[in-house]
This record gives sequence, structure tokens and C-alpha cells, in this order.
Amino acid sequence: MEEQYERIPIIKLWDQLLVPLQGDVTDERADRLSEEVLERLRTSDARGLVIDITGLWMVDSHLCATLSNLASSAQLMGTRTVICGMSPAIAMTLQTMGVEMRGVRMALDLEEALDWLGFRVVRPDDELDLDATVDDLETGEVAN
Amino acid sequence: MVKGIKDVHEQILDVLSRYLSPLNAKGVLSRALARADLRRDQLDDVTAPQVVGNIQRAARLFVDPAALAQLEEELTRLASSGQAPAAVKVQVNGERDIVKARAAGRQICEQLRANAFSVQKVATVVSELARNIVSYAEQGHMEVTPIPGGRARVRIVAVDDGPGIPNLARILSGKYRSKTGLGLGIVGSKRLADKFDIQTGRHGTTVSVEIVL
Ligand SMILES: Nc1ncnc2c1ncn2[C@@H]1O[C@H](COP(=O)(O)OP(=O)(O)O)[C@@H](O)[C@H]1O
Ligand SMILES: [Mg+2]
Repeated sequence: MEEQYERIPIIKLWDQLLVPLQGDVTDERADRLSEEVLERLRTSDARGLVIDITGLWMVDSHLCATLSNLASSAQLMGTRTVICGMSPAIAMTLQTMGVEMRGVRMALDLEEALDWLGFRVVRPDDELDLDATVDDLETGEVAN
Repeated sequence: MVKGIKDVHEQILDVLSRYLSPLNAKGVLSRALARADLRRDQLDDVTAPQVVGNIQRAARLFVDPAALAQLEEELTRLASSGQAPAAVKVQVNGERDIVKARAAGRQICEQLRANAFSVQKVATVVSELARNIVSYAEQGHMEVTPIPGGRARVRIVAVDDGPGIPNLARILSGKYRSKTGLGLGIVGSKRLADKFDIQTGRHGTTVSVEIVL
């Protein structure tokens, strides 16, 4: 019932999994999500995992522990894992409480997370060297 | 408008986007404004109740029925925020009540125009104490009381009649190793608090926290 509006998607992004958390995540939902993500890692060929918490309005010690455990488990399964998007207010609160996220890779935002996983932005215009392409066409060197 | 303080429009949008996609949230709000014949900048504490009424009618079409009651409660509280916000008491019996309690804490903070860090501190303390009730005492209640004024504060009280905490000193020392969590709920709440008090015995536990916004 309530779970419907809390459904958390697990998005496949090439060979990565992206989990964007949103709103208010209950303990139960967080536990179930962890199981789902680990199961997806097992059955898919994903090499990396990004847990994006930009959309979370609140992270307490319990949710923090659940997310760290998920990240550590994924790492044990050989998946490069990164948590990104922690707001300054959440970071300051957890820091004051003495909550640590040891052994978990953190990134400022999704861009930095993808960057760490080896993604680079290449726009078509950057790469397309028109002269070279025309030369290739003329000499018939274009593959297929 | 002072920068960093959210106007009524943003506050309503914040609430709606917890239940709807950003696009639908904006759509519902702008339709409600149009129906009330108001421009965005005319939306304030006085006109809010009218707009909130329109939103509630529209929201019924878009929002999960199970979540609708809580949305209406949040909007109604927002619409009456022209006055000082009222204290909220939440009966805590299960997981859903943890969510409910921290949403109430957040809303009181926002009505007192607290900054993001203060909202976070209050919501986190509420969440930690509510969870402890559910995990260790089964049931109890939480009270979040706004104390307006020059130095606005929020008081959070968690009460249960569970088994009490025999090893409190160790827990507060920060050396406690929890089997069920990080062991930082109580000591973390104390570190976030401007005032902290805990009474515990065989007949239950009462934790009081005050946070200056
Ligand atoms: N309301 C309560 N009633 C009984 N025992 C409690 C209560 N709150 C906390 N405790 C006990 O105190 C310990 C520390 O609580 P806390 O600081 O929230 O850490 P955690 O919940 O992560 O263990 C708990 O493990 C539990 O044994
Ligand atoms: Mg706890």
C-alpha cells in the first residue's frame, strides 16, 4: 500500500547500477532495497554501483548503517561502489553525532561518482573531425 | 524576502514533491493557484488555506490513496502556520510512526523557519528516539513542541514504559558496542542537543532534548 509511492528504482546504466533514493525511506524499505540491489548485482553483469542520496531529506544513524552495509557488501562482491549526493546538512548532522562511513567511497554528486567509475563526457562535436572523416570516405577506409 | 527562508509557495511545493513527481507537483500547485485566481506572489499565510483546499481536491487524483491522509495533514498544518505552530504528539507503535514523527518534526521546524541543518538535527533526533521506542520498548509516544521567540527552539520528548536502559552510563560514554545498530542513537542525540535529559528505570524511559534553531 504505502510502499507504492516509495518504490525505489534500480536503474541499469550501461554496465553500472544506479540507485537514486528519494523522500523518506523506512527501515523496512531500506532493508528490502539492499537485498534487491545485491540480488541484481549477482544476476547482472554490473561492474559498478552508484547509490545517489541527493533526494533523501533525512539520514539517521540507522539508514546510514544500512547504506554502508550495502556498499560494503557490494564491494565484497567485487563491485566498485560509491555513495553520492549527501547534503551539507546531513553530513554535518552525522559528523556531530559521531557516525562514520569508513571504507565507503563517497562522492560529491552523481557526476563525480560517474567520473570515479571511469565515465567521461564526450560530445559528438568534440570528436568528429570532419576533414578526417571525409578523407576516410574518399579512400574507402571507413569500417564496414 | 530574506534569502534562505522559504516562502509559502516553496513550502507547499516541498510538501507536494514528497508525494508527486516534481512536474506533477508544480502542475497541481499552479492549477490550484489559477482556480483561486491568485498569482504566485500573492500566495502567503492569508491566502494559503484557500489554495491548500484546491490542492487537496486535485491531489486525490494523483496521490496514492494510502498516502493521501498524511499529505492532507501536512498541508493543513502548513496552511495554519500563520499562527505559531502547534505541538504535535505522535503515538509510536510501529515503523510507520517513525516516518510520521520525523515528518512532524520537520514541519514544525519549517514553520519556525529553521535552516537546513537545524531541520536535520531535529528530524534525526526524533527519528533516533522513535526508533528506539519501536525497537526496544515496543510502544510509547513522542512529542515535538515548538518554542517560538528570539531564539526559537524545539523540544522533543520521547516516552515509553519499556524495560529501561540498565547500561546507560556506558552508552553515554560512547564506548558502547551495540548488537542492533551503531550504538549512536542516544549519544548522538545528546551531541546534537543544546539541552539533554534522560530518565530511565524498570518502568520505562523518558528522553528530553532541546534544540535551538
Ligand atoms: N527506549 C529504550 N528502552 C530500552 N532500551 C533502550 C531504549 N533506547 C535504547 N535502548 C538501549 O540502549 C542501546 C543504545 O541505543 P542507541 O544509542 O539508540 O543505539 P542503537 O539503537 O544503535 O543500539 C540500545 O542498544 C538498547 O539496548
Ligand atoms: Mg537506536
